[in-house]
Amino acid sequence: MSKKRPSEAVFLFFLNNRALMLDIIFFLVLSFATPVFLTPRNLTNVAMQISTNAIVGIGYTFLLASASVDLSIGNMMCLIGIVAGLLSVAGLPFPAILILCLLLGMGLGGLNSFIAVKFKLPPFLITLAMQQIYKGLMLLLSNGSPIPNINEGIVFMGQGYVGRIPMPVLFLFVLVIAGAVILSKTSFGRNVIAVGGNAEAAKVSGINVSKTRIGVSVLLGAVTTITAFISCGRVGSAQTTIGGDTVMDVIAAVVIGGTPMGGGSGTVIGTVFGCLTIGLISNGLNLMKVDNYWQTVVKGIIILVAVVLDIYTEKLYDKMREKT
Amino acid sequence: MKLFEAKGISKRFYSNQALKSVDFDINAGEVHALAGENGAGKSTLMNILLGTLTPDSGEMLFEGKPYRPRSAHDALQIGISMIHQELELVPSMTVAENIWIGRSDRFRCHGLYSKKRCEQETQALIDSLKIDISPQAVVKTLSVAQMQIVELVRAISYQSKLVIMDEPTSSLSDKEIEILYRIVRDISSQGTAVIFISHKLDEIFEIANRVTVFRDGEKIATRKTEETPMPELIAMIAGRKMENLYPKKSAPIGDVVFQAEALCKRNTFDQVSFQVREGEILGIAGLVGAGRTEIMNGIFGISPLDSGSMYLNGKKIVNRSPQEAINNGINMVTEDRLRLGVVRKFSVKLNMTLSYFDRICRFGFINKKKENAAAVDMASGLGVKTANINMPIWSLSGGNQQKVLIGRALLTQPKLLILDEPTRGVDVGAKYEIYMQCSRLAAEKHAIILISSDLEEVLGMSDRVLVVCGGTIVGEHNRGEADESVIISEMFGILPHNTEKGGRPT
Repeated sequence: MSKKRPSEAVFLFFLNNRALMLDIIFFLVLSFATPVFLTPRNLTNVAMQISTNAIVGIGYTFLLASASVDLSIGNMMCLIGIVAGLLSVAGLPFPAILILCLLLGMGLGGLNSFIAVKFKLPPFLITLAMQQIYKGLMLLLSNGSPIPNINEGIVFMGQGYVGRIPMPVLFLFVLVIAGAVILSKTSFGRNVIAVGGNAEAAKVSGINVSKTRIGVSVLLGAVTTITAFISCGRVGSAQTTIGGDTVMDVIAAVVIGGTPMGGGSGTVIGTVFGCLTIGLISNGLNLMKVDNYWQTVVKGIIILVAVVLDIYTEKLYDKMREKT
Repeated sequence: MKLFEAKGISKRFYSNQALKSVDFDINAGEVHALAGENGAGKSTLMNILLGTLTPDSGEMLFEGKPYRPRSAHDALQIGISMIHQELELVPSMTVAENIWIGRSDRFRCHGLYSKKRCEQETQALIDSLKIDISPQAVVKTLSVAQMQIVELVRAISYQSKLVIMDEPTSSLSDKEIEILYRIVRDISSQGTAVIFISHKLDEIFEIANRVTVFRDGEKIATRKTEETPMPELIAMIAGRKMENLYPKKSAPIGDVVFQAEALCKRNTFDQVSFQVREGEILGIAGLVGAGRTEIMNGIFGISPLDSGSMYLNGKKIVNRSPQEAINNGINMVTEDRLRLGVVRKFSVKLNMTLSYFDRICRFGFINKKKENAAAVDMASGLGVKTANINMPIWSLSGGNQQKVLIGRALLTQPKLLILDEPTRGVDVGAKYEIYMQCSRLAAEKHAIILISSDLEEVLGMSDRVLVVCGGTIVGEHNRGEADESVIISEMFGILPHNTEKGGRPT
């Protein structure tokens, strides 16, 4: 019915797979630019670095696909890390710590959405307030200082290997597959994108919008907990500073990956590619010995470009709609 | 001399001819009413007059000179302003700021905006109109009626030669209606022309010098109100019935499927009771805002009922959400296709199966094979014109989108199907096909409620018609026994027992 000009079709393909395209370009450029890039050690390093953001990104893909947002996950992650540290000090076994913290993460995530749904407020505002609360609680619990000597199980999650695969990468692999399957094949996943596409139409069509939104936040809370464990495990202690840049990095990665800010569709695999884009840029700048402060500037610019591209893609679609 | 004159104005939206070579004129100092059902063409003509729509053909003259507005701003400049049905005020600003919005340059004093001068001038204007509103009041603290008055003052502040009022009394109390009438009389006696759009016929007789009746995009007639009896006006609005436009087959009517008893929703509708039977199409006639959609939204759980009981196949049901309603065996295609209907980013298939995918899940996984098959079957059954079901929904015409939404409802196998304005914004061909489907569904023993602003459609398709006015059912007519002018009178709230003021409908 709708005829696309070939140039438009190619352009759209690039826009829809922009993260993968960027990854390929960066990969090629870095392979030629520095000899260190292609060493197994460096590549493992990149995989390790992106794994934490990518795992949160899986949950965040669901969140953006449902046309919502959460600014509190960074501080939530930090709070959960501290709680895990305290439970370690209290001498609880690893499974107990994991289960308690998962329940805490899911509860906090669910709470964000519950308040938003109950009081019909924008999640942006609620999570802005919640992140302050989490930060305060974290400082209260930790007294402002990190907790060393965390449970061995947590350390294993951050530093362990299964065969030659680091644990964080293994977690990422398993969770990405699970996330992709849930989003594209289950009724929950369909509910999520329907709510993001048109919440009112979804409601009239018999979808429980509130339940779906809370479900998404619970899922996000769960992956945030796992990421908190991996982050703490990697440094072997519960830090009071983790999660600082998480929200921005994750939103950027998810949007570059092809999940629109406005919701209505989502791709978990794309998010991983989006994380890889940011990871490759950081890694490349590191290898080329670019100043750390400049790296932050570059990252900001990339986020800006990602958001502009996102809006641009939507506009391009709108244009095509008008033509038909 | 005529203040404004339009000749041979035509406008087409896709395949829908909204205006067919319409002539219209108004003199200075005249109050000219426009009457007609929803969608008859009144708003389209006004939008053309205001420059928000461009006519396909025809010409307009303002004070004898050719008039081709490109925006509402052009219209304002030349001296035409409009009071919209929806309020267009900024709630956080004061009355004075709202009235002079976009014109704050007038109150510049030593290069700075003078709030005082603005308020003084507003006070003078308000005094001259003999109304009681403070210029300093913040608009959000006012009542809806007061806001309407502020809108009116704003329109007058442009010192327009022509003021258009679109149902200005719809949210006013009697006292404020009197104020409005007085202002209308005042400004018209000073030479301002007023176009007065209204669904209340007694209002038209009260205030207007002349009335122009529209029907199906055509101008039926322009008459002096004093020479026109009410029944004649009603007959003009209703028009004559066209035959064979509605492929209604008579289906055997069975047992009662759905029964509503004393349904109430505060300030919206009251004591609504009716039944729908198997194989029956129950038509609901009434004007927009009469409570038709609100009653159905109550039944379907979009805005749950305050009180009353519902029975489906004799079993009492409660619908607190659409989800519950669908599970109970009721489904509805809402009137607002864009907002409450299609998911624009979804394909035809995903739109079609939006209420269905949940029912074909095993362990939470959607059975995609079944989903696909169901969507293909339904699309071909309803004659959805699309290259394939994976096309984006926006690539379809309005009529075909509507069929997809009907398909969405049908996939849940409802015992009662509610169709609210199923043919709004749909071209004639697709309309006919939707009627065919309604008829077929009734023959397949579905019970159907059909709501429409198009009276001919309701009469053409229904086995029985209920008329809704002011939140209650005011009339019930069987197929063939329904008299159009009686129904129109009921729709417009002129019941046979209180027509002393405006004459007697035939």
